[in-house]
Amino acid sequence: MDDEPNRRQAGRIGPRCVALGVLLLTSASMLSEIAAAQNFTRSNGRGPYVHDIDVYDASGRRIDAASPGEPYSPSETCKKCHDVKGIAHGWHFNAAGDGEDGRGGEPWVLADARTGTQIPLSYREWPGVVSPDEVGLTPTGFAQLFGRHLPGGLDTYADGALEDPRRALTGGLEIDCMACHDASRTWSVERWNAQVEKQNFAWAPAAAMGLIAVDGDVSRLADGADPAEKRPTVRWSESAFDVEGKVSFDVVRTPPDGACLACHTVHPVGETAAPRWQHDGDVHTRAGLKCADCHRNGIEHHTVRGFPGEVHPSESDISSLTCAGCHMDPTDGHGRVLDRGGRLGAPLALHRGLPPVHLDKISCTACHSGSAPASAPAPVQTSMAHALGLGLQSRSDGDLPHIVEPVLQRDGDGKVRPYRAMWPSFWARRDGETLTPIAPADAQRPLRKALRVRRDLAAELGELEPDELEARVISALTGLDDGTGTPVRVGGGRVWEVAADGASLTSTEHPAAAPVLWPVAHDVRPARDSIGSGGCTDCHAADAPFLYQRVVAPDVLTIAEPLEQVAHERLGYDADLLRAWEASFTGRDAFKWVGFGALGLVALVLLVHLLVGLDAILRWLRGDRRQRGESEG
Amino acid sequence: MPTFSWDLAAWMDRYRDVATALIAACAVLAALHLAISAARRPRWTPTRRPGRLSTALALFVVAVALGLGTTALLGLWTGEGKLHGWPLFVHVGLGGAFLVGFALLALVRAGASRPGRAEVYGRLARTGFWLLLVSGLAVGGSMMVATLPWLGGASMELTIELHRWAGLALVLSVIAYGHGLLLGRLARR
Repeated sequence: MDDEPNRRQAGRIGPRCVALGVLLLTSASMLSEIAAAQNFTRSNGRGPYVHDIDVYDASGRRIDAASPGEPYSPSETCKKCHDVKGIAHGWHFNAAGDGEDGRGGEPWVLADARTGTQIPLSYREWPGVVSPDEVGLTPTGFAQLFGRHLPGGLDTYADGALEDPRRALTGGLEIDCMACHDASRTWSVERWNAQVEKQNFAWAPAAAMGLIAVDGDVSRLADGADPAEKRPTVRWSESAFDVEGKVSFDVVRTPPDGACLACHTVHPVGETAAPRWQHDGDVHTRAGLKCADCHRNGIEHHTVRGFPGEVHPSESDISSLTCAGCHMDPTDGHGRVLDRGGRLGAPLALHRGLPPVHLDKISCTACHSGSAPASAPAPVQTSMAHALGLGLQSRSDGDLPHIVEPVLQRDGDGKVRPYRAMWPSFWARRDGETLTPIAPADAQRPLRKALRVRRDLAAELGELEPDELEARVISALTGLDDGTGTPVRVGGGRVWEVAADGASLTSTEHPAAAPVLWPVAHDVRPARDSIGSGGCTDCHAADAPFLYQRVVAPDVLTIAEPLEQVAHERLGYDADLLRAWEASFTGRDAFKWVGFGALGLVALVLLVHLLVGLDAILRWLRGDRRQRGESEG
Repeated sequence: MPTFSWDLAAWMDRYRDVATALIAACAVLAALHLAISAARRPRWTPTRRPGRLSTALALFVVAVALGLGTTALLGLWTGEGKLHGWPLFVHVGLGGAFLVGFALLALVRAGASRPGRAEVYGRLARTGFWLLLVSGLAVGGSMMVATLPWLGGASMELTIELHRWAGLALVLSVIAYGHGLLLGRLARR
């Protein structure tokens, strides 16, 4: 009986104890996280911090200068002071589904001249791109092909979702901080790529910095090879360590433009391209700005992309880091300023004489960015697609993939924007509406016999008569038939397959053949070199490229006349209305003279009658006074 | 259920609704008044009858101004609050015609429409005429100045705002003017 109250008491205290325990545990966990976050070393100075530091290998062991063996690991080395795990979620490193796919950007392109293939690839689910898995590219294969222009980070793609059995041999292609933060440009893309091409991923960061020489080639090892025995060996540079056994890294907080341009260069090619010395580059960099002045990020490396409406993962307000955000004072319909621009001394864009309706319908970049529209989009090459930045003797303007700019396109918000465009070209198998691309490596053998191409499909078949070319393509498609689907050729905006008669080709349109587009933002041309600076007839004229540019869907292999579209058709403009405006602009000066003359006349009439009216009022007042005077007298 | 607000800026943001409501209300009132007047046929003897050409010119200006208002509202209603496309083109084209007719009308009818002059026109027509001249000058001026490479974005927005409200005033003046003219024609002489 006496125990009953104690049991009740125990029953009351029990839940309280549990709640208290949970509270303490939660608090401890939060405190430890805060403590961990605060453990990262900070200098908080605005000047550079000299990084004479110990280096660590991938297993976290400090590398001893007296007997250095393994290459240094950027993540193990840098995590002593920096939030490497947080950085791994940054925009440059999270392509494989770590977060939002974001607005479409430049895809990687699997290009092969022998099979006439250019397939847009991305781990991000952007419109028109193919996942690397679909063309048989393992994460290791992908890194080997494109790691040349990846700042590392394949390990962190999707938090390890890209597991690969060869990882034990290759090591991780870690985020290499020095690829962007190297002030002295010691980091070499050539040395980096030399290791990446050999699948020597774990060795690439140290080799790129010139700290080690590597003997060995992981790509030659079989999947099941013993890493302990077969992995490459390392020789450290004698000057790598200082007297204290530390390594000196010349680190800069804000990456120099060269680091950005290593992967984001766009190089005009072809007959219309002016030589490089005649290019002015971007007006912002000419004015002294750096890429990272607008494309900023914090330690979490969510680099601001700078397009209108962008939402930053940190929920910070980044609206002023866009063209309009800097150069305009966005106002409401009554001229009330909603957001003050002018960051970094940006001049206010006045757009004198431009009816504001244009700014509602046309993006800033449409008039100011990239190559000015010409009668046809101009070919360009990019770092990511054409491995620019690497020294190659075999470069030519016709190298795949074929990319052109600017192609104007109306976006979901109704605004016209300029894009770079690439029309996919590849061999595939069709099952209903589903197209499965055939990887170049798988297509080469069946195609070799039918097409008799040794190196370059376009060059070697380009001279053929149309009938002969068609016969060869039919033969190639027949050769690709393995019973898993109808073989097709994708190119020029169409999908080609053998017709029912077996003797001709027939084509249809298909989303997989549609061009892949990504926005043009740079180089930005100055105001006086933008479209419209020459007046209304820069666009409102029958030969104005902005509205009458002919956009041809090029095919690596020209089977038939390519599809062609005039810009205003792509943009959905009423051709009759455009012509009506153009006609009106021919008499615009006369219209202005007549208009101002008419207004002047009316103003004169009003003035005369106003004066007459005033005179009448004055006379009436005088007459009234006189009358009053007479009546008083 | 829409709630009433005294906030002027809020009303200015609803230009399309305000303009449509005002024009419709004035047009309906004018039509009703005309219908009643047609039935009663008030007696009014002008001292001098206006010339045919000048009447035709006045009716032309009234028609064109009403056309301007119609295209503007049509554009605003079909273009999600923005005037563009064919309605804008027709609006601009009519604008040119209006300016010419409007200047000629000012020359031809200003003298006879002055207060204190012999009553060629009724009081409503005379008032409407002067309001038409003032608002028309504001409408035309705000349009023509925007064709010059002088104004920047914010000034251009302000000019367009002025053009819109002056345009509304013009249409209302034209309704008054046209109404006055028609009343004069309906009256027993």
